[in-house]
Amino acid sequence: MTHSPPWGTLDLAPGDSTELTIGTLRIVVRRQDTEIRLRVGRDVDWDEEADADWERWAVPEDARLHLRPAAPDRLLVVSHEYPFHLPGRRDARVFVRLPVFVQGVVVSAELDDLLVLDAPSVVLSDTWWGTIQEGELAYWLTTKARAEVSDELFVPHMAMCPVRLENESNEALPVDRFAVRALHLSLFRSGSRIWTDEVGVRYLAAAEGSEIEFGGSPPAEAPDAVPVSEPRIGIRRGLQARTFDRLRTFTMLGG
Amino acid sequence: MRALPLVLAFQEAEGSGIPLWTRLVEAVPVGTTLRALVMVLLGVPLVLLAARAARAWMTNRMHAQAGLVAGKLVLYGGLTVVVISTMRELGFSLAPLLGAAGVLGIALGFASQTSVSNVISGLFLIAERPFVVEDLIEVGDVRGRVVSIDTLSVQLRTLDNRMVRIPNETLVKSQMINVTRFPIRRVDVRIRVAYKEDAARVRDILLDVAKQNPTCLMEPPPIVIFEGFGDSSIDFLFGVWTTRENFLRLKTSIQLDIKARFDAEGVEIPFPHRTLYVGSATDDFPVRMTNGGRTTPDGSSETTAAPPSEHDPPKAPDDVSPRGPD
Repeated sequence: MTHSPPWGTLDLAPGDSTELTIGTLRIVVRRQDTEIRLRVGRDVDWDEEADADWERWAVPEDARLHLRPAAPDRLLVVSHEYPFHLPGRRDARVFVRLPVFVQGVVVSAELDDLLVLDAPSVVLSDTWWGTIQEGELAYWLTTKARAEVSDELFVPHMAMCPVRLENESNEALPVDRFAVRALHLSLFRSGSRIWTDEVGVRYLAAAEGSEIEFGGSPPAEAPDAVPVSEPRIGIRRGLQARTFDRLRTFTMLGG
Repeated sequence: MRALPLVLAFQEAEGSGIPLWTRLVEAVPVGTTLRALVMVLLGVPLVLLAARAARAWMTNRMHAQAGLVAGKLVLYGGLTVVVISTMRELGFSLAPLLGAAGVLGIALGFASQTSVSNVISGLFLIAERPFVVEDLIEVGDVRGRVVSIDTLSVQLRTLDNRMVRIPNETLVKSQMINVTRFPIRRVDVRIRVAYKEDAARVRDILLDVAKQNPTCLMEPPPIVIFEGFGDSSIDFLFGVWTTRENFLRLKTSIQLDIKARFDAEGVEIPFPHRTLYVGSATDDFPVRMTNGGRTTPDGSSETTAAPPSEHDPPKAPDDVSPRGPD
């Protein structure tokens, strides 16, 4: 074992196995002959003798499994436990803790990196962002949206995402929930802490939505952090998308 | 050629004994033939290009089916212009042709009324776009995925994998439900609980069940509607939202979750029951006991009254009815 759990490269001798728990995700990795075997689940009792539970990958002899955190694979709707209002022409910076995905990559000199695992460390509820006629599927994340971070907030399966909210309109903006486009987030590691790049959201009170920018570099709180995961979908410039708008007609759906 | 109509050439060829081909070549100068040929050779590709461009333009601006309609309109319109122009160049007089076409059109119209109606309905379906390929629709008793939208009919693949052909006219005339038009759907579950249950507690349990099910969307929020007082139960409508892809999965899992949670919380899902009264609604139900099932010599059963319990209230003399329960 040459890794600092849970992230890094697993160096397993033939016949060896190791078990990791990341969030609610339970992973068993076994190196066997020219195979890497994986068992992935939550709240399961595996039959140690049963071969059917294993996901088997035929790999070269020098292959190793590398575990890394990755950003969620969908938009996140962040709901605040304590909503606040952002006055017009003001900005605020909040920190959102989001559960990362666990990616397992087989690395070998003989083949390109092979993604064999991409699973959420914690299963989040689904939600819908948009109208009932169009929109996108998202994860629901309840957060306290803290103004400051402290040591105890960092756990291995959670990434800290700094979000700068700028209200460019003249009216107060109620911030009870907003969308974080996690597909475009980069992840960085500083010691045992996982950070994302800073997300800038500029609210313009426009129908087209808000302007969103991704820093692409470690946040000011962790300037020495090293990249561990690139965005799932990279964007060269900022984008404009709905971030604060919530469908009012949802309240009329009872009929 | 603006000169001799070809009809004249036909007539002359019949009476003169000169071969028709020779007369035709003489009747249509080479220059005219070349011009007509150029019209066809240039016109047809131009029409095809224009149709393709119209289709692409409309597809980009609107959607694929609008592009299809635009492309077909340009194609058929353009080809008609090319054919008419070429025929005029060759000296065909269009007036008799149009007259003949009118008569022929009426005859064909009567003969192919249904087909024409289906073709026109098909154009409406493509333009109006009530569904697209891969949508799940219901027409009458048929439910299936749209495989293709053709000139005369729409092909559906039912959920048990049968092919159903529905004429376009039927789709235009009848009520059609597009099940998968919108990206999210609501799963409605009707729930009955016993009268002894606390309705507010049941509502809270249901909302928590929705919250715990990961396929159930947090927004739009789930709903619990108190539907009324049933014969044997308090009736609720529980509605939870999910994506159209997860509809069946949630429909099953949410009901399994409700059953498991009700069992765990001791919430009773009642069977239908009836309360029978004989005589006064507030009196005890009359009971007739038989003595081991024996009957008296006159054919009637021997009856005895159950011994009164010390907790029972004093019984009226008619507690044991000679008629028994009816």
